[in-house]
Amino acid sequence: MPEGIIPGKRPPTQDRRRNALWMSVFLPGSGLTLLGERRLGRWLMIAFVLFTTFTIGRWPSVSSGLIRGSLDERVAAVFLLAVIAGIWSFSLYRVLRRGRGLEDKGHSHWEITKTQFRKNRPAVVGLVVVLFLYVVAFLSPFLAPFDPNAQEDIVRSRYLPPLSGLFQQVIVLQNGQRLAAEDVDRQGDEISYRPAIREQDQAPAVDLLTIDAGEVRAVDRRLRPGWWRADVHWLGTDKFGRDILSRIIYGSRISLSIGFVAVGIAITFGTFVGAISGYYGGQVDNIIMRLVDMILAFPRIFLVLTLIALFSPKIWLIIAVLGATGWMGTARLVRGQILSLKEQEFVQAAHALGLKTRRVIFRHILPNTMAPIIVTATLRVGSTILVAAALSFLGLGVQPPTASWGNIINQGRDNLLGAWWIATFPGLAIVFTVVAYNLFGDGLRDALDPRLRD
Amino acid sequence: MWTYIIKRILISIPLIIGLATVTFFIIHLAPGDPMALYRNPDISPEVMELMRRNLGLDQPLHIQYIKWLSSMARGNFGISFTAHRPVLDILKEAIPNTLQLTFLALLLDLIVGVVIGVISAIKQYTAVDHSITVTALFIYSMPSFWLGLMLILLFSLVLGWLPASQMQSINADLFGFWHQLWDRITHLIMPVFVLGIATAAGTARFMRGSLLEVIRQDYIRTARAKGLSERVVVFKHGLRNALIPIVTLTGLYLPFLLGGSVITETIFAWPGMGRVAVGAIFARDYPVVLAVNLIAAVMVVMGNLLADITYSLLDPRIRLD
Repeated sequence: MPEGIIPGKRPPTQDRRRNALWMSVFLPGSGLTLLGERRLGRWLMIAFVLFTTFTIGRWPSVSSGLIRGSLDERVAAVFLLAVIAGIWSFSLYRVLRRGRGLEDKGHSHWEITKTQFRKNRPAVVGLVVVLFLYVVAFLSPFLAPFDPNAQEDIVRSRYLPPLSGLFQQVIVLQNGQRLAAEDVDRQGDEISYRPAIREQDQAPAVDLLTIDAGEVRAVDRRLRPGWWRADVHWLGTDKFGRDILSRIIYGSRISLSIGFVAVGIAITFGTFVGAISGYYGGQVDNIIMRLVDMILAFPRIFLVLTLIALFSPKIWLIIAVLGATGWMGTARLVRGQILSLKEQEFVQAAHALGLKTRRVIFRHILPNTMAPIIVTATLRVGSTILVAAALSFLGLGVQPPTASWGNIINQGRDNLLGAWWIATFPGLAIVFTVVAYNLFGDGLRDALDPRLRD
Repeated sequence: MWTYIIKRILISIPLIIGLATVTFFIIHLAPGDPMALYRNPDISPEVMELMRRNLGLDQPLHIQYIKWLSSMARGNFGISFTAHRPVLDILKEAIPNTLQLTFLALLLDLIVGVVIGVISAIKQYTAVDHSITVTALFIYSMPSFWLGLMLILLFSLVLGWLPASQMQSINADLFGFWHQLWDRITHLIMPVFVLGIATAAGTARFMRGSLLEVIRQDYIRTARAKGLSERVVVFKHGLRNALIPIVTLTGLYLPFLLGGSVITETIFAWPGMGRVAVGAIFARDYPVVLAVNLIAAVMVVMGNLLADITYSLLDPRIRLD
């Protein structure tokens, strides 16, 4: 049934369509809610508001990043503006099409898959988290509170626990006076303290002052004024005084890009090999499958370690090796699909029409095998991230000082009990990333499975 | 059935030879001269040449390959470049330790995985099922080295209940038998858990799916119609059939267990094959790297062979192949 025509409701009037259009110019998504696409409209509105407030709030860094910044900052700024522009234009496009009744609530394979997917709450959460991670990775120069390699004053900033800088101790005197203080310590009858800094740029006071214990009523804790001005170490610092949260944010870029590109390479190569093997059959198939069996017999870590240690650990080599050790599953999958599809009538018809072999493979058979390949790809990104983290942990991944999640965990081993936060939080980041990919992949697989349709 | 088994065994042999070839050529086509370890301004070039000839590195590649293959077949893996001991001795010490870990991890995987999977399937869609599924997902997604570190942090450093590394305490030789046994067990708990729990989570998910699928079959309906109790129906008829694919799955998990041992042994300083492999890889110790890679691959092939044979024993439909 063509849209605009929702069963039981009247189609949108000319007035309503015009209102929707104008509303969408100023607040993307609002117009869509007016025209009946409430959920999409709401999401677009929320996304637009979030991104715009972020851009406006951080405008100085965004604009300077765009004009004079490093490559990272330029990419981040362009990404931000592109996303906002994209939301705006997509919303307008949808409003115009809806207004003309052009969007069909169709029942194509893709539409059904989308509907099934949306019903699966955890899967949607997984997808949202994955998108969120990519946004964080792109916007990392603007999101990370500190520079990931900045050591500041090592003596004062090394091994700080999480939430450092958030609270401030307050000495309450008997006469009601309150003193903001740091390093409050009691020695017998005296309490020593250091006056807390008031301005962000002031050097910390060095002199230790003392007060008689009798004058003090209590020692309190309160939020440090100006704590939101980004000098709180939310997840603590490491051995060199570098902020862990910033390192995790920058580390996400490495993990996500390795995962994505390596799996892309593996899937492409695997599809290619599997297609050839399946279609031509015979000796070619035999040889290729023997090779696949051989490579599959090696535990992946052994192969990857050996190959990377033989050359030097650079990021492109890591991606290449991970891709080269991961294509086998896809090859088998594609081969199996092609073997089963080869005998079907539409392939024979294509041959009868005189189409060449390659065309038959690529334009007729492969599109039918896309679905399981994509599901496998999504699920493999998770395991690729885990292997890449293990590599970094062993010292064969990206080298320090570049932050990578496995790297940070490795550095956290030095002081596991005393500075537990260094090893814990990057691991949690890995867990949540992989969980999100797994949920998304599982949801995709269930949505594509015709047996699970309601 | 015997023809099936013999056929499978015969196919494995060229596979193993192929593996050896692949390993050999990977290692030797790389840059990085193993002689670099010995490079020293005091040693004259003639002595270097002598050492190189001694280690057999001056021969053309294919001659090295044939020599290596023939001595491999006789069980001689050469001498380690860094430890100056026969590689076979190094492996003979290390492999049993790894096998201990891997075997126990496999046991953990099968027992815990099957039990949890069955519980999850029986109580499908209840709170128990959901919490099991979520927990399995999280465990499945954890990096094993991180899990190991967190367990060490909790159980060794904070609580002090379990030892953090090695196979036994330093003064273990002085213990009586039972004390030694207990010492061994406490040292085994955490590494085996870290190694096996991820595969156990995967097995649990698979078991759940397999059992649910089997329950929908017609013969289960017949069994119920016959009046058998639910317990007999599920455990005797359903479980037996649902367990069969687990055999194949376990065979598929072998490479993961061996690979996982690399990380686990590094974290827990367990003197096994994985730690030897990592050390050798970093030190460019070619004979050890070759031998370890090959042994690992051969173990996987044998494991798969065993899984295939077991599968054919359990499922009569396969034997007629």
